[in-house]
Amino acid sequence: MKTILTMALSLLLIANAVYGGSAAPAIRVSGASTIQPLAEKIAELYTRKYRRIASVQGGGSQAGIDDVRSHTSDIGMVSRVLKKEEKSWLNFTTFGFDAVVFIVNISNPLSRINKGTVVELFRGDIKSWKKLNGQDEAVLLVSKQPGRSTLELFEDYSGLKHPVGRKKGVNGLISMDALEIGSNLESATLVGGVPGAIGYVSVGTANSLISQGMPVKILTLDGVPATKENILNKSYPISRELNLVRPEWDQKSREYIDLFLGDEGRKLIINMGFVPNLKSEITK
Amino acid sequence: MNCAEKRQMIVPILVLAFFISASFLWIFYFHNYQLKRIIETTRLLNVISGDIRELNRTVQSGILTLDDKYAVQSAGYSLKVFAGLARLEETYPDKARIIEALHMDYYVKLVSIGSLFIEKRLDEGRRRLNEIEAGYTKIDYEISRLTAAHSNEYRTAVRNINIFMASAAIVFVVMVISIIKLFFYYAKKRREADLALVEAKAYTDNIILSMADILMVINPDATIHTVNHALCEMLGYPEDELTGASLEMVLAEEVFINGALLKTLLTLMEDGSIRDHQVVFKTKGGEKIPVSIHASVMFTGNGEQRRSNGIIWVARDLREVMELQKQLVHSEKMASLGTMATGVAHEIKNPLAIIHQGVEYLKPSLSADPLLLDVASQIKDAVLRADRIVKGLMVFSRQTSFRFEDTELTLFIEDTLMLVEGQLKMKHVGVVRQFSQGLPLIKADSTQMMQVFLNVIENALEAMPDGGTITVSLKKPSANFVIVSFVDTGQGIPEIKVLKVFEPFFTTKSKNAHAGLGLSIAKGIVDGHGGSLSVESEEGKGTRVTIALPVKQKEITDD
Repeated sequence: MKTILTMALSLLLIANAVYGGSAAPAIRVSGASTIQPLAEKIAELYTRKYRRIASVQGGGSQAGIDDVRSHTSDIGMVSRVLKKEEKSWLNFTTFGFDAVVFIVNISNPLSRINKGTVVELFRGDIKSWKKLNGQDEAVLLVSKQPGRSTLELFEDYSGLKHPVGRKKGVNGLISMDALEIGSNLESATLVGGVPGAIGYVSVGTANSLISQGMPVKILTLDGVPATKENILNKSYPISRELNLVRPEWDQKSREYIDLFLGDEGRKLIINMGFVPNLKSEITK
Repeated sequence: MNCAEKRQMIVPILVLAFFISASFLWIFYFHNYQLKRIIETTRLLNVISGDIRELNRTVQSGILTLDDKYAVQSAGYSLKVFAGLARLEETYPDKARIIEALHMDYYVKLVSIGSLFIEKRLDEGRRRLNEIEAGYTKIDYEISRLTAAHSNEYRTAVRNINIFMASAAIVFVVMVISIIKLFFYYAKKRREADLALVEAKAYTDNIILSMADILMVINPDATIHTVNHALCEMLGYPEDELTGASLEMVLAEEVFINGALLKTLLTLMEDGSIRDHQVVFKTKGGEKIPVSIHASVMFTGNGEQRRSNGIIWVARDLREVMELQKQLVHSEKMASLGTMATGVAHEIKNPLAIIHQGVEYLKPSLSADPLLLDVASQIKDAVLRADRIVKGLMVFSRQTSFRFEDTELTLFIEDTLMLVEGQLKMKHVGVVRQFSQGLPLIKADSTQMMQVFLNVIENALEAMPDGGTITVSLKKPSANFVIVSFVDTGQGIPEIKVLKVFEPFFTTKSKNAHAGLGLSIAKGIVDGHGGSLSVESEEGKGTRVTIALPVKQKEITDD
C-alpha cells in the first residue's frame, strides 16, 4: 500500500516536472520555419535542462522580428542576414548557416540546374518537363509565401519577384500558377508528393527529410553541389545565415541560445542539415 | 475406310481443327489482352482507392502537426496515387485526368493545412480541413463510380466470354458428334457394301447351286473347282468331296481311252466351246451315267494377259432321252409289226380258205376210216384256229374309224351287263354298281366301246373261276373326264406281268383260248376316244381296270 502510494506520488511529481508547463511557457520563440524544427528540438533540451517550457512557433523570419519587437516572442528566428536597420536595435546570434536548394520529385531525372532554367521555370515560361528531361509531366512550381526569408533569398537569386504588390524583378515575376507554401516541410512534402513539382527549401530541411525517406532530391545549382563546404565557403550560390535575435539578451534567452551553441546543439544543427557556426558567439 | 471416304472426313475434321484453333487463339487473346487488362484496371482502381484512403488516414492521424514522419508518409502515398493514375490513363484517360486534378487539389490543400494550425490560424485551418474532407469525398466518389462502371464492364466481358465459350463448347460437341456419326456412317456403308458383296456372291453361288442343269468348273490342272447341287445329287458325292478332286474320279474309264478326253479338250481350247459332246460320268456307287456336255473355256485378264482360267461344263443327263429313244424305236417296231401283221393276215386268209374248203370236200371221202376222219377234223380245227388268229390280227391292225354318238354311260353299262348276264350267273359272280349321279353324256362309238367293256368283264370273269364280285363304278372326277372302273376279286396279275398286259399277244390265260390281243385292242379303242385305260392288280386280291373317258365337249379327231 505504501509502496503504491509512493510510486503514484513520484509519478505525479515527475509528470509535473516534465509537463509542468500547463503554466505559461518561460520562453516564446517564433520566426523562420527553417529554424523552427531545430528550435523545437532545442526546446526539448531546454525543458529537460531547465524544467521550463519553451514554445516554438513558425510564421516566417519577418514574423519573428515583428514578434520580438512587439514582445509577443522572446526570441526571433531569422533565416537571413539582418538588415542594417534591424541590426540597429536587435541583438543576434548566427548559430549556423543554411542554403536554399532547389528540390525536385525523386522521379525527375534531372540532377542539376542553372539560373537560367530556374528563371524560365519559375517565371512560367516552361510548362512541361519534356524539353528538360524528356518526361511528359506538367511543371508544378512550389514557391514561398511572402514574409518568408526563403522567398526573399529566392527573389534575390533569381531576379523574379513575387507577383503580388511589388515591382517587377530584374527577370520578371514569379508565375501566378506557382503554389505558395508556408514552411519548408510543406514545400518538401508537396514536392515529394507530386511528380512534376519543383520547389526551393532550406538545405537543412531537405537533407533531414531526405534521410527520413522523403521522395525528393537536391539539384546541383550552377554546377555547385550543396555540400557543407560549399555552403561554408560561400561557393554555393544561395546561402544564408541562421540567426536568433532579441533586443537584449536576458538570462532565460541566453540559456536557450546557449543550447544552440553547445555540443548537443551543434549536433542537432548538423543533424538538421545546417552548418554550425563554429565561430559564433553572442554579439552585442 | 477408303480414300474417298477419308477425303470426305478430312473436311469436317479440318473445320473442327480450324475452329478449335481459332477459338483458342481468340480466348488466348481475349484472356491475355482484354480480360487481363480489365482485371488489371480493377486492381489498379482498388490500389488507387486504397492509397487515397491511406493518405487520408495519414492526414487524420498526423498531418495536422505536419510531423516529419507523417509528411514523408503522405508524400509517399501521394506519389503512389499519381503513379496509379498515370497507369489508369491508359484505360480511362478522361476519368484519370479528372481524378488526378481532384487529387492534386486535395493534396495541395492537405499539405498547406499544417502551417495553418502551427501558426495558430485555427479558423482557416478548420475551413481548410473541411475542404480537404470534401476533396477526399469527391475523389472517393469518382473512384467508386469508376470502379462500379468498370466492374460492369468486367462482368459484361466475363459474361461474353462465358457465352462464347458455351457456344464454342456446343459447336465443338456438335462437330465431334457429327464426325463420330460420319465415321460410323462410313463404317456402316462399308459393312453394307461388304454385305451386298457377300449377298451378291451368295446369290451367284445359289444360281450355280440351284441350277437344274449339272454344272462343273474344272481348273486348268484338271481338278474340280466348283460343282453345283445337281451334279452332287447325280453323282452321289457331297460337295466337299468333289471340290478339288481329280476329274478322273467322276468320269468313267472309257472316256480316257485313246486320249479321247484330251483330244476333246484340245478342240475345246481352240474353238472356245464345244456342244453336245458325249461323256460318261461315274457315280460314287460306280454307276455309269451318260451325259451330253456343253463346254466352254473361262478366260481372265484382257488383251495380252488373257489366259484360260478353267473350263465350264454344263451337262445334261441322257438316260431319259435314251429311254425315250428306246421307246420310240419300240413303238415304231410295233407299228411296222402291225402293218406287217395286217399284210400277212390278208395273205394267209386265202390259203386258209382253200385249206378249209379242201378239208370239207375231203371229209365225206374219209368217212370210212375213223383215223382219217380224225386227222381231217384236226386239220379243220387247226385251220379254224389259224383263221381266228388271222381275224384277231386284222382286228388289231385294222384302221378303225369311229362313229361317235352321245352315250349315256349308266344305261350303256347296264346294256353291256345284260349281255353277259348268263355268264355272270353261271360263274356265280356278283355285280356291285357304284354309279354317281348327274353324269354327263360322253361321245363314244357304242359298238367299239361295248367291245372294250366286254373284254374287261371277260377278263374279270376268267380271273374268278370260283366266283366273286365285279364292282362297277362310274365317277366324274373333273369337268372333263368320267371314270369307269371295274374291280374284280380274282386271282390278280403278278406285278412283273402287269406292265405287259397291253402288249399284243401277251396273255395270262392259255394260248389256245385267247390270242392275247384283247386289252391291247381295248386300249387302242379307248385311246382313240381320247381317254385312257390303266390296269392295277394285286396277286391273290384282284384287279382294277380304270377307263377315263372325256366328256362330250372335247373334240375327238378321227385318226
